[in-house]
Amino acid sequence: MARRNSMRRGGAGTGTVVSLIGITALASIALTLALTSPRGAVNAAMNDALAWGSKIVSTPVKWAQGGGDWFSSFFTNSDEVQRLRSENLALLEWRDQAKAMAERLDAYEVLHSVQNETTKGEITARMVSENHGPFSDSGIVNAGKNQGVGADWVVVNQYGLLGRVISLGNNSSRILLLTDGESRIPIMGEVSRGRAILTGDKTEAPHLAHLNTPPIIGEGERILTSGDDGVVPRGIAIGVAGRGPDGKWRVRLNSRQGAVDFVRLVPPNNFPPPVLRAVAPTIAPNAAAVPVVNGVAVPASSAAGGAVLPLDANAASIPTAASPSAISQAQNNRAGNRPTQAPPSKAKPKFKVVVKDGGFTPPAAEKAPNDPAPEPPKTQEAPEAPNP
Amino acid sequence: MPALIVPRPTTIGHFLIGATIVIAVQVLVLMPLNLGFLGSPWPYAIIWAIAGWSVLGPDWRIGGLIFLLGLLSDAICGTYIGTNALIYLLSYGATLLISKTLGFSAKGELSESVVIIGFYIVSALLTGLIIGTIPNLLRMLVPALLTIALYPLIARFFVVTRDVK
Repeated sequence: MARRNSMRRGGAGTGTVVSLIGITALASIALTLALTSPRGAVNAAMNDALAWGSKIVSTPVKWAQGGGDWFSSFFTNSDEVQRLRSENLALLEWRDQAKAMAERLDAYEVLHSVQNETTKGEITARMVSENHGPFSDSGIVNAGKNQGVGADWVVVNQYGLLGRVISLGNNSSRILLLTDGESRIPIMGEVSRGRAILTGDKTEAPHLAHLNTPPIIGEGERILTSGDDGVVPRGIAIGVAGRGPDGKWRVRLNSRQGAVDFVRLVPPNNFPPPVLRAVAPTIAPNAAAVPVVNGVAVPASSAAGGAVLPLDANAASIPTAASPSAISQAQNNRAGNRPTQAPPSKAKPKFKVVVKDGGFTPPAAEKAPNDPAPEPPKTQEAPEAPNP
Repeated sequence: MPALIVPRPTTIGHFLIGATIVIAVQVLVLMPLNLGFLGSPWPYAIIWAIAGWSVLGPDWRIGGLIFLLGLLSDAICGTYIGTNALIYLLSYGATLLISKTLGFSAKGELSESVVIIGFYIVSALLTGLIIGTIPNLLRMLVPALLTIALYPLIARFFVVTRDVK
């Protein structure tokens, strides 16, 4: 037995007390650091040293993975070639359709003056290390400040989104993976456009938080980044939605389909926040109070910023709390009931008008298009009509 | 033990060898090896060090060394700096407490490592509660089993002994 010759020093001497105080002090320092230091708070030199060490220790694994692929290719080559040929044929069709759609999309964006989200300055690097511990899921890539990488850059591989940069070295960066407990990415369904937050919980399939109620994201729907945070570019593939064994909506990540090797670092959008503060809308306290702009009555719905239902005849047919199928049914009914577009001169004004100073005020829709832009809406009491 | 065979290392030698092994295993964490939902498989080498070094009783220098190894682990894993240091020190403190009361010598290395792994998991949960990040216990399963399985083989590099005069 290894302990047979050992002797316990200690007892209740001064040395023991000093040691216990020292250990307690160290534990307090550790606790303070854990509570106050930011995530990945190591300096650039340490980060680079870790990346250098990672390159060395990860080399055997990369060799083993490469060797395994090479060996298995002997047995699966013919099947693989057949599969790739058929896939290539299908992809050629998709390529043509995608090109045509891209051209149409460009034309529409020019027509509508769409503010496009283009990504510039992408960098390709290699993931040299991954760590999947009980407290964190992170990785290290071999590109850092010297290569132009910055904080919050988005990391994708050939399958989809992997994570984002949380700390930087001179020639390396630490990546917070999507599966980490602190990862939060705004997402949307590809078809439904339902929004949610992809929340990492240290499992292989992060769950979706803050879903629409009822959830309109469907089982098996592809999940993309929504770009709603102004940081992560919109439209990057993440995975496929589905219900987990625990009943939560989860996303099976695309990026884990194979070993992570080469990755692309994409700069964040970093849209500047709006300068002007939003002012809370004022809703008319009674029927007599109608906002008037340039002598024109403004419908309550536009003045209140959507607080009141639009004055559309069919608006009431939209169920307020119903299933997605009921909502889509109501929307289809609205689309079916909508009259064909009438000439502008015969179009009825969609909002009521008020009599002011005994005269008739034309609705804004009938004003000339080159009229000066109206001032911001001002709420004021409509004067009573004079008695005859 | 005959003196002609390999001499028993001194206490300082034990510390150096032990710390080197712990650092080497911690660096292995950088290897991109992932067992899916079970996470990384690398053992908790610090458990071996705590088990071996706690024989000497409370010692602030050992505490300092464990603290530094914890900080290194934080830097490698990308966790909040101090998280692993706190877990290690809590495990060390609990081990000191229990080894003084119960003693491990009669029960052997296997049971010793099982008990300290238990302390480690409780310390990790406690630390997770304090810093607001609950650890994934499933990912601690394989490293814990490996730590227990390997300790009887590697204990001789960590157990600090002193000649009784």
